[in-house]
Amino acid sequence: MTGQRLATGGVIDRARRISFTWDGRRMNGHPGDTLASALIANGERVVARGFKYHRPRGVMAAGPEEGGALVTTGTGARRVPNVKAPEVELYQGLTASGQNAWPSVRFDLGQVNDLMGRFFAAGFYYKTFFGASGKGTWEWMQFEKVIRQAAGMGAASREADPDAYEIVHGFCDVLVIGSGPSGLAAAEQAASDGLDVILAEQDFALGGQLIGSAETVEGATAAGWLEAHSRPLAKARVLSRSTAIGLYDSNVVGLYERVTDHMRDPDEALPRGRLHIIRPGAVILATGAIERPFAFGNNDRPGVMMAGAVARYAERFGVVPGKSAAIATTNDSGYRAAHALAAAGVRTTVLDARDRPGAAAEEALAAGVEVHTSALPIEVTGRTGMDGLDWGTKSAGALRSKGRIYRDCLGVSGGWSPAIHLVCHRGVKPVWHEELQCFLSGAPPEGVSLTGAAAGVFETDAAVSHARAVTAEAVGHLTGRRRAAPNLPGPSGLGEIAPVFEVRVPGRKLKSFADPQHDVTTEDVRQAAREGYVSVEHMKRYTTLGMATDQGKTGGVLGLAVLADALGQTIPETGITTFRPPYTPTPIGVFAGRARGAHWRPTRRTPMQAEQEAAGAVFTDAGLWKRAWYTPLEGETLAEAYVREATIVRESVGMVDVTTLGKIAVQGPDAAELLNRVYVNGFAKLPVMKCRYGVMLRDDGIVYDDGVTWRLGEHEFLMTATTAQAAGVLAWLETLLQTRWPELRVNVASTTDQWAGVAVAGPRARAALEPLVADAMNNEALPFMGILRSHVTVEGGQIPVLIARISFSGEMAYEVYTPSDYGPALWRAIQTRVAAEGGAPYGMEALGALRIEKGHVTHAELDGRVTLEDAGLGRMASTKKPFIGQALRQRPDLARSDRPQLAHFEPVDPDQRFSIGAIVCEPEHVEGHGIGWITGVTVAPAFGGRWIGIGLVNGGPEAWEGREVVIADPVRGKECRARVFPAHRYDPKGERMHG
Amino acid sequence: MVERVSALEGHHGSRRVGSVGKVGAGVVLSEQRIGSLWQLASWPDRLNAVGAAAAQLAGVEKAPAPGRVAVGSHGRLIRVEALKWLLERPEGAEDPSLPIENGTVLDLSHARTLIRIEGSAASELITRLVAIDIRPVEFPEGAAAQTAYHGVGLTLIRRGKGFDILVFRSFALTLWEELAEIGAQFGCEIA
Amino acid sequence: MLRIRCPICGLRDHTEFVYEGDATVKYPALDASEDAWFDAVFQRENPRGPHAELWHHTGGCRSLLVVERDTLTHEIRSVRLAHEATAEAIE
Repeated sequence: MTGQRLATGGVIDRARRISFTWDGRRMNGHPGDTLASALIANGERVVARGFKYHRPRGVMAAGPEEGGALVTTGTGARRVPNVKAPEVELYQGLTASGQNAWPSVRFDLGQVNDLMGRFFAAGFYYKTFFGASGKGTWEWMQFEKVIRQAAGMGAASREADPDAYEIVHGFCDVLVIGSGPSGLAAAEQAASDGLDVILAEQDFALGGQLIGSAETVEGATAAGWLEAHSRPLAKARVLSRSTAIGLYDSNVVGLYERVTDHMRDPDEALPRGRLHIIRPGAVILATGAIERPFAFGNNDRPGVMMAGAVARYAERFGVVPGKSAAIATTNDSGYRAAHALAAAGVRTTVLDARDRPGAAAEEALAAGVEVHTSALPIEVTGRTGMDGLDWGTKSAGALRSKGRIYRDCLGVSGGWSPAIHLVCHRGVKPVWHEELQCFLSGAPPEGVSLTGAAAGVFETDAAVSHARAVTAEAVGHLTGRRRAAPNLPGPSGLGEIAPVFEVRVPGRKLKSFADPQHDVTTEDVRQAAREGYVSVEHMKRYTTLGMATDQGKTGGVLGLAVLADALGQTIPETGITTFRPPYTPTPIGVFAGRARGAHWRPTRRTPMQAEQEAAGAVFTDAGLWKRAWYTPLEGETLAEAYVREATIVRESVGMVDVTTLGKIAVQGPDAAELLNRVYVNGFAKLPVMKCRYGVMLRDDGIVYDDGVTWRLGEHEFLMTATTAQAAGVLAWLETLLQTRWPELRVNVASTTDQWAGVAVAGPRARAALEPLVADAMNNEALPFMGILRSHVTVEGGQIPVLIARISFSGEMAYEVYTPSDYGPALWRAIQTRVAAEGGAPYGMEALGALRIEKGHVTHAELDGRVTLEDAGLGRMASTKKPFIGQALRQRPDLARSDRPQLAHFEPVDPDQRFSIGAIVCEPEHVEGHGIGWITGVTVAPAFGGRWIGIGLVNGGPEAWEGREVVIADPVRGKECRARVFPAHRYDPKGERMHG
Repeated sequence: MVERVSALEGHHGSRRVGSVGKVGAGVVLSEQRIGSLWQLASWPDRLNAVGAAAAQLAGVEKAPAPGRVAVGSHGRLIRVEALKWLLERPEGAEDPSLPIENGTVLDLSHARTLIRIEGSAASELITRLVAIDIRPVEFPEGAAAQTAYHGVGLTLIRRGKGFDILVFRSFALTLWEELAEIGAQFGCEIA
Repeated sequence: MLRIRCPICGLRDHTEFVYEGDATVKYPALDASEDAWFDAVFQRENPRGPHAELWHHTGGCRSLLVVERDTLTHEIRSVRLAHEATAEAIE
């Protein structure tokens, strides 16, 4: 027999129907249902298969602790595996299916695994295939594929997640987690004290265990109390469908809010989920408790549930999981289910493990429930679902069989585990409470309080008064208005609890599960103990008990109790495994938030991007910047375009957007002194309106960055840094000024965004610019490394510019800067003139070609391992003043003459080519790491269109003069003989750029 | 006069994104053009002198403390760094200067873009942008915070019924696009 | 998430800051010996408990801060500006 919907009862909207699809079949439910309650109402018992043994599984719980009903929801890219059915809010059109089964959960061919259980016992993977018995990695990989196929959890979609997520930053005075009676009371208390409160609830409804409950709270009905005490929350912010997934340092809480999962046609503008990062003044954990099972034979059969879940389904959803029921309990709480079932007219038998159950049993008997004392379940019968129960009674320490009763559902309660996961995320160790037979939180960190069942206060009225008192204390602490500490109710409220964790009968082989979600049996735990995994953390990893999505909710205490028993020690001696965030599985997309797709990182754009786009430029990423890579003429390839662009620069004139160069204003009476200390070369005597190339080292003597610094005034410099290092250089200067040299009066600030820059390079550069510039640009007025402050005529008038005569290409070249908003006008004006001189824009690829020809280093060479000498810049180091890195650059290993040094490479056979990253080797030793590496390659118009490269080779060009090397590319299986030349081979005297 | 071209050129215009039809425009994004924006930086022992000069330039009684904005007859002063003020004034304002013994000045008029966020959901939008406690008690009228979104620095100011955001010019368009994407759920109007 | 109370900006997430290492290191003069520089650059204590650290508020006011943090509990006991003259001026 199976579950059914009761004619009355439950907090569901019976007037409205919801249709949904389960395993391809249409079914109905009501608003207020979860997938689990609707499946029970539709008589579905087998809703999943265990992931190792493929045993049938049904709904076992009514919350995130569910260990049986793990299902797959959605289809296509929105398919989500391993969803716990009690957490799925039912909505019109929901599609869900069972998992770990083929062809279906009702008839699964994988069930054969159950017969081969010994192969899947604890540690099976490791022992059988992993390295042992002469089997190697290859064998393991083959077996592993098969095992993963046969014993895996549900399959995720292989498509990209189509949904959007976002991160929301929250602040409040008091964050209350959980909206059961204690959570509501806490939130109400804090709000009435005038504090800013957020109340978070993982369910879609507030009230926790009070929803649909028949109990009375402070003399009122549960429904009445709920209504009265929800009203004051109008002033609070209530986040339902929001699970607290982690509690972090500074009491920051992560909440995952399910925004659209329960909607049929969500607004496309809504994210699927939000990660609320809340920074509260105080956190009140009213997270309740999770009921603990105990183990007996076939305790995973569909029909076997937690007793509290049986009660919850009957009270809140008006469904019962069977026509007749048994309750196996070790404490008073199991009777709640017995009463709920009796009220629904379900024949119910209670097996109470205690010898003298007391008042709870009396009341049940009075309600017509059959009660057996000292009674325990032994083994459930039935193949795909429970049809009976073998049970027995204890007397004088022995369990005597009492035969079989025929029942189709069983509620189990072995006690309760307070949900202390969040506080444990802060490193708090749980403490065993002997009387309540559960772990309570150790002393929580400042600003965190636990209340209600989470604090071990199980009785509702006591929990409510506990919550008010704890909150008043937290509020007093926050506001400084301390009040006299009230007397807190202590942990209590389950009555006497019999310490039962597993029922074993000598001579009877039982398959008893400690963690049904991970298919870990009590025998697996004992085996782990026998094999020496005596630490609870080792046992957990060896057996997988309580791992992954369970995080010890169901399997934890039971598993360690079995381990303690096997080791002959107590539970506190054995300890408990560590709870880690997230508390429940969380879509990984939410941690990225909006940082995905086009916005996976921010994009920086120059003011001239639109002009270059209009000209047909193809862009590439340079750090966060978009830069023109090349601008092809019709039909041109990248290779053709960049060679043409580079040739134009050598022969007439080219222009390139250099806005991205990092620019730092260095101002103040000690600005020159700062530069003198950070650059290896001198800057103190640099004349005003002149610029100079500088190199800076790190403290350890390695090259950090290079760039040209302009002196705009006595106390005013404009430093340029490489695009990629600009932020780092600014931070470095700030660090030096604020910590090492606090006496220097220098202001540094980024001005990268203030200036748009265009470099104009080539023999016709001056001719191109002169007609635009208001002042003279001849060699006297603007010599090499000179600066001119002037105006440029553009459409509509004149714009202010700073022009520096700087060359990166080796040709006559100028960098023209104007305030950014004038950038587009500047670009258009120069482009017209450049075109008139037969020139064109060039991009990053041509820029690379030109600098390789000229032998200028970039961060391809300055990779954090290179010294000044390695880069061929040794002569720049001043001997007249100290600078950063000076001491440590003299370390013997950095001063060796056979270190890799900058060089120019050309293939011996002009038809051969080599690639970036290729290894430079001695001809007779083409192996290993070689003696150098290639950092840049290009077709070189300046060298007759030959293939050339730049890179580093041991000893530098001097050591290899007149000798060949082999440039090896083992990845591509290529080798190329090459000659080595000094890096500055093109126009070594600089006549072209000085011209 | 050559016209200044905004970083958001071509991306303004009366557009509506997201759920405006269903929920109305909860968020209105607009650009406020910056005229003149200068940084005034003081040496530590000259803070009072530079503060007085800054106050005079903006036409306020007293230069604001860190985390505050002061609005005066000539412009406004924003303070988000220990020893620096940002002086925002209309286009055409005379370049400020400071004696080098007191501090330095720096023109940033083209280095920032100013985005205005208004509407009933403006605060909601900000909570999805930055980790700043903008509850009115903590972040009242005239409050300013230097913070970062997605690693990009920005200055957040509460002004009137909305917020001003100063962002680096080169990042302005990326932020503008993201604001519209986040704002869509509240109904977003782009002025 | 650590929250650091910046003297200029107030309480902020640690993600706004860049950790810059041990605040107690005294760097020698630029022309000091290789040995002195070697010690300053490479030799570090790894204390368990209170530790003075430099944090750079790059995502905020760009101040360098001396943060006294317990490496065991992550408790932050004090935060001050590294630049003393600025700290005095701000008071």
